[in-house]
Amino acid sequence: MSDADLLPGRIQDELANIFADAVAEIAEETGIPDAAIDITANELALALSEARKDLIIMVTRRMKVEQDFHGLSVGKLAGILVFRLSRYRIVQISEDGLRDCDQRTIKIASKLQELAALRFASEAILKVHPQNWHPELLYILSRRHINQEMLGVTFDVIATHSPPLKTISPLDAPPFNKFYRRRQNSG
Amino acid sequence: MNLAEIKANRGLFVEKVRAARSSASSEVRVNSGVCTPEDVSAIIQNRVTEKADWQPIYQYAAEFD
Repeated sequence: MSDADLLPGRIQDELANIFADAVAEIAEETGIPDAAIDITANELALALSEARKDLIIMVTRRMKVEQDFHGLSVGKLAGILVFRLSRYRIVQISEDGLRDCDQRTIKIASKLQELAALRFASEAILKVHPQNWHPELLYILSRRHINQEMLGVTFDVIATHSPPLKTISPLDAPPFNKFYRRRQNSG
Repeated sequence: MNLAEIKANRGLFVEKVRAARSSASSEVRVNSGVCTPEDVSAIIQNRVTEKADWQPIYQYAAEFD
């Protein structure tokens, strides 16, 4: 299965750090005290392990049905990761730790995990500015339901049409232009 | 095939299913690229160098329960 395994342990470790960074950045930008936030390493590890299995299944299936396997889109990769990162009980917020916070901060804190999952997807995988309609995606992730497949398609559209973020290496040149194929915005 | 025909000739029905399977194509090549763990590693290590504005989404998060 090694060819189909896109998330071996060392990459899961990197992703865990990136997710924790996303939580930390949101907390700093919104005034949520560090002491109010716990990140459960066990749940985070389980989420990434399940994402690994999801990707193995998806890649294996495609290898079997496609004559030449061309790989997964960054949208599908982000969709699988965000689904698992939003389903497991990774981030816990202490009510006591928020006692000195205003109502705005308290409400943001209640969606910290979903916000972190979206930020993780946007900046680590998709490399796009948050789009205007991300708010609806936050509502769906935190209060409604969405499956991996729809998340993948959603992120494919986001990756194709959203303004890109600047990165260390440009996304429109090799080797990254094979992952990021963007349409020219008309306006 | 009509159901009555299928009941009358199950062998023909199976022939048609086999013929459809051999000609079916499931290759839909849209949005691809990530093939190996090295691809994933390259993507996540190609860090973003500009700061995105998340305040509008934070504000949205503060507006619903």
